[in-house]
Amino acid sequence: MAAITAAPFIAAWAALFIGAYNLPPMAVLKTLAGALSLSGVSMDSPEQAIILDIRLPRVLLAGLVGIALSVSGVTFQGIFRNPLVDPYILGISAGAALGCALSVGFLPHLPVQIMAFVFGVLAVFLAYSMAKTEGEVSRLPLILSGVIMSAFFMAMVSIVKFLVEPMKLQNIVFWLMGSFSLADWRLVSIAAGGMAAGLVPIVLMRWRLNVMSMGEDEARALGINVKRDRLIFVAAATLIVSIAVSVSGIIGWVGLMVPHLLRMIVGPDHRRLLPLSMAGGAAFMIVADTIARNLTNYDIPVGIITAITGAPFFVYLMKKGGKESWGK
Amino acid sequence: MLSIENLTFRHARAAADVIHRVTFEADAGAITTILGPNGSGKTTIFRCIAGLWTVQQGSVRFGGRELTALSAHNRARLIAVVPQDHEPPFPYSVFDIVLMGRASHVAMFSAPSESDLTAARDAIESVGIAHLAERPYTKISGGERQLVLIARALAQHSPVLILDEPTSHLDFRNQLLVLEKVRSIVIEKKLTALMTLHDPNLAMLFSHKVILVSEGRILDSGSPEAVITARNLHAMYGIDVSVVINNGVGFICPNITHPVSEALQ
Repeated sequence: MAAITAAPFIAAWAALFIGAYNLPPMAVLKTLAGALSLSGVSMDSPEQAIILDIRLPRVLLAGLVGIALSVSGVTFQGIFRNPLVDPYILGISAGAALGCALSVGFLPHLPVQIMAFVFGVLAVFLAYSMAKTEGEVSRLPLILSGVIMSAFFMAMVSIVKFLVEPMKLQNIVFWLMGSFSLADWRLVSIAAGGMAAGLVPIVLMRWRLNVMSMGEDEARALGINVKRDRLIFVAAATLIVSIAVSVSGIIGWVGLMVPHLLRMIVGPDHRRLLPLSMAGGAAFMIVADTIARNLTNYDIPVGIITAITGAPFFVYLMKKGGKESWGK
Repeated sequence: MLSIENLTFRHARAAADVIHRVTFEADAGAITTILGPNGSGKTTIFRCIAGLWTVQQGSVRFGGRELTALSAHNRARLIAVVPQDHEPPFPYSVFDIVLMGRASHVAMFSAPSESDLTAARDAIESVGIAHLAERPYTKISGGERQLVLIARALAQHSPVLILDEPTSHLDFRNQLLVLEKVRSIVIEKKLTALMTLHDPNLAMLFSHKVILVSEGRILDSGSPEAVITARNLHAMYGIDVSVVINNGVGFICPNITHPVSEALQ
């Protein structure tokens, strides 16, 4: 467990030393030491700019988005009692993406996060209502309705792309691919602030995810106000996903892979699983992004890396779970 | 004492009541069993008392307090429910499952405290499954799971215990073990226990009081010997039976010879 907690810090530390512009490790250390001591000696060297204004915010943003995606994955898996869902599969990422695209295209004065959240909530609400039959939400219908919502919202995004002016189109297309290449301190502070609002209730209430994952009737008999708590969890998880999408586009599969791997290591108790998912999600995302920006001469969108690992992982889970993973 | 008065329930848009003016009482330190055929309404009575369905009419009182309008949180403080066993989506440990019984004692924005952990440990101890505490709930037998759910209900520290067909998935030996455990705990902790069963022999062996339910109404109620009679069982199931006394306990034997189909008509 200590290893999992330390992982994001080690990953972040290592990521600061790796990049397209080859900096000797000593220069990196020196810059960091200088920044930490707040020596006041402003040395506007290129090293400093590369480390403090490019690599550091990018690593932090990747870490925050990793936390957001895996925590929301754990939350949705718990309340929907379905280990095969995450914000991407439920269509929430696509919904939030549509909100962002609309905002960028037509509402330039509104912070994109607002529309991202509105459409994220709409997506999860629609996916959930579509899957609900006779008061029950079974696994396969929920996944199917998520896929349908995803397809629908991505089609709407295409319409937006078709309608906006070329300059804005370029922005939307680039950002949609899912990348941290636009990371700066402004995005880091937006992400940190917005996510904190959603993370705090989830972290504090995480034990209740155990109870709620037993099913609606059972949770209610045990004394949980299921409707209220579910609303809080869904709203909070959707908020952090919407913020993540607004700063880095659509990055899929992280919310599925990280919680699942951690469940295999530390067990399903959300008191442990949720905090460790934060650590695991941050570490995974920082590593994936470091690979994305160093694998080739181009800065490949990290969403491609997560999809390349995530899709086979989903198939593995499906095969391993057998018929049961599709049941109630 | 748990008193049920005029309980009436009808599904939305249904033409007829599923249960109609059901009235009975259950005493502390005793097991009251609701016995009836499938579709008789016993599960409906159970779900209405558990607060999972909202009754159209009637009241459920405990110690003079009306329960039908209580919030889930307040109801759970008074009534602990032992549901039928089902598989959770994640392999929680037995201890984690029992700890869930503390949900009505844990504040919204916090995790279980040391006293909640102790309550869960004590409940596990009192049911005699301490050796299972760290095992995954998904990897133990049906009888063991039923005991875990009973331990969870005990961890809730509620004075009323209601059990939904606790023996339905169990083999012969486990049925007796589980019910004997329930009986001794109920007497020891002076709980007001209400359970549904569909086997008249088990009802006879383990209940202090029996409520016979047929077609949504109460057919008869009283001590097991007085209620589980050949006449009542014939009225409920349409089967001719004899009550044979074995070691001082009545035992129900169907009076049938082959082919059975004739007797069942």
